[in-house]
Amino acid sequence: MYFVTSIAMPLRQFDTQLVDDLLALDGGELRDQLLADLSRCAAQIRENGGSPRQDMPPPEQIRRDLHELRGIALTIGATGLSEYCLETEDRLFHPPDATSRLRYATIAAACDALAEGILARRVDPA
Amino acid sequence: MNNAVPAPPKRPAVLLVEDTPSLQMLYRMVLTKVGCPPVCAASGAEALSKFEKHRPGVVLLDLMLPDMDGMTLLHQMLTLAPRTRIVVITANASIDKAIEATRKGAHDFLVKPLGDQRLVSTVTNALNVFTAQNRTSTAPQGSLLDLSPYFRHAKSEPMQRLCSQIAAVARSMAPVFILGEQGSGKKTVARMVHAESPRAARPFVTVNCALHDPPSLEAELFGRAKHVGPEQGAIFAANGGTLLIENPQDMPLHLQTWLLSILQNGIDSRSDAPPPEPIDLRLVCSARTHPGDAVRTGTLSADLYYHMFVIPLQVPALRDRGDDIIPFARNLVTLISRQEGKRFTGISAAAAAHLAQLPWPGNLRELINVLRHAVVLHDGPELTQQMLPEGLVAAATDATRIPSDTSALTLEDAMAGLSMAEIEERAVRAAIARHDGSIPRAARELDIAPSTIYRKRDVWSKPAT
Repeated sequence: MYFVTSIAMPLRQFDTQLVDDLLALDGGELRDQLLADLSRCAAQIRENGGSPRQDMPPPEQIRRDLHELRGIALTIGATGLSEYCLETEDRLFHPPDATSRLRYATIAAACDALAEGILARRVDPA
Repeated sequence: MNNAVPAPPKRPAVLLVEDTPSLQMLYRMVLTKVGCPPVCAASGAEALSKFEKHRPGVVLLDLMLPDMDGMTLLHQMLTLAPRTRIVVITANASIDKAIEATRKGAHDFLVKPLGDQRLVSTVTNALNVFTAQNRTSTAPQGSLLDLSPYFRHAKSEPMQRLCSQIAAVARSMAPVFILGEQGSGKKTVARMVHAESPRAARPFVTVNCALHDPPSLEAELFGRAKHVGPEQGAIFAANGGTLLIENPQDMPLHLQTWLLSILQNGIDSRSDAPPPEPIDLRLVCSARTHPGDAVRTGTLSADLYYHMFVIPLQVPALRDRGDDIIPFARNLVTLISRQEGKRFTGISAAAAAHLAQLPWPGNLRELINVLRHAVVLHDGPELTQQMLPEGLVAAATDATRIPSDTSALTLEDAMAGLSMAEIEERAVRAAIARHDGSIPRAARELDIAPSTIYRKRDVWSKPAT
């Protein structure tokens, strides 16, 4: 497992062997795309989840962001983040509370941490 | 001389619908490595456009898309091309949705994260099923006409209900019992159940119990030599696929016991030896009447009844299919015309109206015979009322009429001048014909033993000396 500091430990873990196998498939192209997707997901969640409570976008929009991130997290073995996204999805259809924005901020930070961890992996030529 | 090497058969396309670019790239790489490079789409609209352009055999569909619900897309694709094998992709907490998708016609589902092997084996299996389906649908399948496309496109409520039931049961392993009048298309329904099942690439074997005397039925079902090896029997030939048993109530009771023993335990109770490989078959049965009646009269064992009568499917009579008769007849005329090398392209309005009002006691079989009669004797391009067999209305009406006192007089007239042996032969032959060739049922009607009919038939078939 790879660890990145500054956010809750389960959210920053991913399956290094799985990621190495994935990255070995094409020698770099997939890693670039994974990093781009994580970065985009983090940006969307910061934007949509960071709004003041009354300006929050429809839950369906945030749900889509979380669902997409969950798919990526499952694929790289980031089960902690995947479960956290799922919990957050489940809470979406209740009125937002004081912890909602904190949750989205945590998820976005986890995306950054995962991207950093993936970037640190060595990619063998395909 | 043409030396061109024939092109290898074209592999059906695979459409991958996934909106997350990295996941789309990953699945595409895995599939490309095993020789199935997919066409990719990242939204519902793009997927529909590529679906219409490429007509893929298999679609890998993420259920959550940015512009459309995956379930809606699934429905639209299956409406456009019902044979398409759609594999839905879902995250682990959405399995309920994936199961709902399979109820709505999806071939299978994959749960993220998709392992390479699981992804490849699921897509390969779906491609095989699609290819086998197309092969079976274009092949003659033992009959001159494959009616399943017309069943699928029927508009009448009973036929649409039947097709929905077929789609639902095809994916299950549960035994199916098809009920319907003579000539209504029971075997076509059985073929549809097989063709839409995961066993589509495996054998589809049929045995009609009404057409065999007990020794030949035993050989047909279980093989010719009891101790030489069972491979020749239908049960073993259907292993891995589907076995259709027509008229199971006409099977002698001891064969019913053997059949049940093999189905339940994989043991051939004639020798108490297990078959060389486990028996794994989907059992489909068909009959004109409810098998519960045969249990009450003692001709069908209750144990076998409970084993086979799990999911009943009722095939509607042609007269109950409303406006389906006319488009069905039009398609059949074109098809039969092609087979017979004729130029028919349609049916006149008057002929269509005439066909629509007939009661069709012989159902599809009768309709096909009437149309073939007209096509063979005429040239087209339009089938007119004058081309229909003379007395069609009268004959059809007579077939459904309850015999009255006048029929007795007719019978007496018909018997005049015949010997007792000739009257007996005519009566027995007529009873066999009334029961679609089923000797056990004819014997029951005449209140004699089936063996009596078999014996007499042997005598009749021998040339007079």
